[in-house]
Amino acid sequence: MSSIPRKAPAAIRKQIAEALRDPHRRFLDHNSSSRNHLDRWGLKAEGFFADLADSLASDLLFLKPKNHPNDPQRYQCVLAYPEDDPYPALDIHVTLSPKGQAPRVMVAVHESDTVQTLPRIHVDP
Amino acid sequence: MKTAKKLKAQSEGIPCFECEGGTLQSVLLDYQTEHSKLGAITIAAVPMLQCDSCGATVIGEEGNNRIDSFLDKALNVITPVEVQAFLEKYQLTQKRASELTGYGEKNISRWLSGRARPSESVSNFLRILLAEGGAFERLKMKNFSVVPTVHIPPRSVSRTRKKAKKIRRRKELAT
Repeated sequence: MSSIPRKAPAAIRKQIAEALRDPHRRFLDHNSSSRNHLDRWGLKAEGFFADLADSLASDLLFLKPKNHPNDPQRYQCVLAYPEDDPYPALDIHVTLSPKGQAPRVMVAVHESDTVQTLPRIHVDP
Repeated sequence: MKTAKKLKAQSEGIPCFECEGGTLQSVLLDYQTEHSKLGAITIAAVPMLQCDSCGATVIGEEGNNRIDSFLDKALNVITPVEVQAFLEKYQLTQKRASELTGYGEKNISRWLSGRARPSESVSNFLRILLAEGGAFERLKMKNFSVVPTVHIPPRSVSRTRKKAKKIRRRKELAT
């Protein structure tokens, strides 16, 4: 397996960003304590989704390696907030569900899975 | 411990993100989180969506809004409307407000837009400045002197004379 992460296609980034801007098509993964991280760092969900959608103008969204071929394709990126912010860099995993009328996204937030290895997208550069 | 309570049988029609075979159903779950000021807290009956096949759970717009509203209220944080009122009252740009308060311009922008939740100390400080024009003027002038500016009137001449007379009398008695 290549250690160099593959970038997600621009069309996927566009689909994800559109879903993130629609309140009815964006979800936080409850099982990964994603919401707890936002609470701890004073990030509101709406603002976080907006930050992520804005950040996907950058092409630094990567394919997440699958554990099994049947697993859904996930995407990952690292958001870094301005230096004077108390927030650390956030490791973001995105699952895009193309089933249904319009694609929906589930976002999981982690503190440090790939924060050290993936290039960062700077929020509000 | 989470307490799940199935709402009325209402299919959202949203396929599960995890197993892709099940469908997400509306449920009310207790949400637990931790905050440096509030400690461990539980928000009861938060709307969420749970897969009827694998049990994976996601939080949608309704649930996120409920959690954010709860935290805003519990932490008594300054609202975007109040931040805007602060800027308008003193006719400040975000850049000027940043220079005066020492907070990052981007942070101020994020509080103003509601993207981020200000801390309690930030909320208290901005609310004092909003309420007290004098406090804002002192900040603006960088006048942080703690010397009291209360006017102390000089002792009256008659009181000074009486004291001098008393001392003279004591000296006379002593001799």
